[in-house]
Amino acid sequence: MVKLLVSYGDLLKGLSIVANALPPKTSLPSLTNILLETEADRLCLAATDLDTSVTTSVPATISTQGSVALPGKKLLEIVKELPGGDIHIGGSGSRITISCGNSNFVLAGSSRESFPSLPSAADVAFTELPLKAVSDAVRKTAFAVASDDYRPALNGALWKMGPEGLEMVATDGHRLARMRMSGLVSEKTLDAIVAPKALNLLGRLGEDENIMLGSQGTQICFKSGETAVFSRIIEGPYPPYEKVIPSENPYVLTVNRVDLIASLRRMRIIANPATHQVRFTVEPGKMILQAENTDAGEAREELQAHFNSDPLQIAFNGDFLMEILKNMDSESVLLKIKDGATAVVIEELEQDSGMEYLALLMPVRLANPV
Amino acid sequence: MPTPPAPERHILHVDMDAYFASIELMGREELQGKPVIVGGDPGFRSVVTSCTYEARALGVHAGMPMARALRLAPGAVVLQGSFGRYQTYTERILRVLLGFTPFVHAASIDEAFMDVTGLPGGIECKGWEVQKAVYRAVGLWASVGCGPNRLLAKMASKRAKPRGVALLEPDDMPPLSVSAIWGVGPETSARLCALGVDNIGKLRGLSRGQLRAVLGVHGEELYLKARGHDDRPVLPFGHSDPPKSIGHEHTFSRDVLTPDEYLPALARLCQKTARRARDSGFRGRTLTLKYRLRNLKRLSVRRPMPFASNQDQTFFHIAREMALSAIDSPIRLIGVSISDLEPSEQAQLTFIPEGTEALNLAADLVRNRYGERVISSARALYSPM
Repeated sequence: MVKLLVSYGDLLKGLSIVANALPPKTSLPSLTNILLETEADRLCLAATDLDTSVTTSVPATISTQGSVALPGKKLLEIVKELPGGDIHIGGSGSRITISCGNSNFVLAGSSRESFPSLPSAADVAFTELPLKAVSDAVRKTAFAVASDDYRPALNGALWKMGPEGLEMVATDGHRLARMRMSGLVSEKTLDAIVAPKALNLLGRLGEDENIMLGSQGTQICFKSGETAVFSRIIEGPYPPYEKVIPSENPYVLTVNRVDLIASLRRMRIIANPATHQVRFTVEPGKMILQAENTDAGEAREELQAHFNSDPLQIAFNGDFLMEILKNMDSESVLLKIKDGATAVVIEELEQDSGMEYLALLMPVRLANPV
Repeated sequence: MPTPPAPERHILHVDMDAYFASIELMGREELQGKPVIVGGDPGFRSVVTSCTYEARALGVHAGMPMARALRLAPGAVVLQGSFGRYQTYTERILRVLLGFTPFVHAASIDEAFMDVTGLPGGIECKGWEVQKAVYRAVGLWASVGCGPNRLLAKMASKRAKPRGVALLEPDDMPPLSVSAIWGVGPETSARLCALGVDNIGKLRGLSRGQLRAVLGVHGEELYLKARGHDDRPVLPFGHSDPPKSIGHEHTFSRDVLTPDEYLPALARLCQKTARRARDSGFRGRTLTLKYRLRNLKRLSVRRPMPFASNQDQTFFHIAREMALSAIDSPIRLIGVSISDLEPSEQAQLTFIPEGTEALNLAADLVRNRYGERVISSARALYSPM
């Protein structure tokens, strides 16, 4: 039995946040539900796919305390279409009525007991961090996380927190992104591989200026305002990424980031759709981009650039390079090169103090260098 | 100015008659005129790879389970073939064909296309000449199909069998069943039959749009093929089209269900597939696991790989996971293949290498010198049957 009144805006906002944890496909029907549970003068909402759980709460006027689990997608769909104003939720057993204005819906509910138990944030030792800096770092690293790799550790981003600051790393073996924030120090240490779903959710927490970060057992937890996200830590070890970051790449190419992205977009039209190979010929004062594909034709473009060495040829997967550049912010970027078979280090020309961001990209082997 | 029409092409399809069986019969006078079947061990669940025309007269054909073939031809002599010997003959035959033109495409071990456009003499005369030259060189008969393209030449060689030469023009497409068209497999054939389209004549009655609606892009191709159109060239020898996929299959001697029973075979197939990929200079981006259930239903699952690979161990790791989650009832066949192939020489480099490249390279060198079977991963060796 439950009976309560909640505002349209609050309920929609709460449901939209927790619905992110609903699994797209599942054989366990209980995971398709969102749990609604009253607590004093608030309505708590929760959803989980067993790996990631999201909980939040919104203000509500409670007439009868209680709880019920309702089909998540349907509930969100209904609430989105309601005209606005106050929403009444009430009922007992498996018949739960949702009313708003002249609209009435009845959904089949399940008991609290049928919903999986959720981790609690009560015992987690949190560290407070600025949300903007953390979500920026997530954006700048998450793109390099592997998807569906048979090496599980690569399917997440490594987060390391401690007295030396916060570091985030992601790689799929072809590219790597690393963000170091020396200002974000913490007495508590953390060393965890975070799943992409949790990374994605972090970007959507926008309630407070700060975020609370902590871990407990096999779970990492972050909290912002009333919302908490728990995510199962991916088992390691993470590959020894420090070893692959070249320390001496002597040749430096400086180029306008936006111009290079635009040029790569044009090369993409012709480049081989499987390899996305774009050939770079770099020389002092300029760089030449070329793409070719026997089925489509050829593309060539010259860009102004600064290069500190003799002419050199190297090829990349244009899509990989574009993704790296799009996640950078500075006007110009530096590409530090050694040769056509060594990882290239890509850095922003201007970086905020306390931030150290770099991306690595492995070249594509050139079949016939000219 | 209108462009002059392209000269009509003269394409031959040279198809060896009962190839493996004919090679096995060479020098064995006592077997002449008898039904002879070439295939695996009759005690196991092997299939017929070739048979003489005497066996064909009893209803036996290539691809048929051996047990069934022996029921149809109980007195047949069964020989286990030697693939290496057949390859030697194929090389000799190809040399004969290359004496006529460099435009020879070996479509498989026992058939080849030739483009003889512009050579003196009529196309059918050329067909007889080629047939005789092959017989003189190796003592084996071929049937030769002649036509203005690969499709018609291939259909003509079927009509020429055995020991014949036949010409097929677009206007005399025979009123055969749709499955006689090259590229129409059982699935397409069944879909067309469900619409009442069971022969080429009826297929021609469907518009391009109708066929596209039923079969997608493949329908467009079929619209042209039903009219005898096919513009695929016969490339010069050695310049064949790059492969679209590389793979191997294994049929078990009895149905199997547990991983212990099918994983060694799967490991062997991954090993063979990876070896061929390395040998041909390709890496695959997609892995497909296929299996066949007891009721002969074929099923398959595809999975994109995180990177293009040509390593046994990577294929096995992924194929094993796919098999463990997909196979839940007894299977009689298992297969693995890679597709979305990329040339190895243009590989995307990685800083977390698969770690098995040196090992597999060493194994390849040993195989090159001492043969395919001398070295194998241990997990591919154990087999309960």
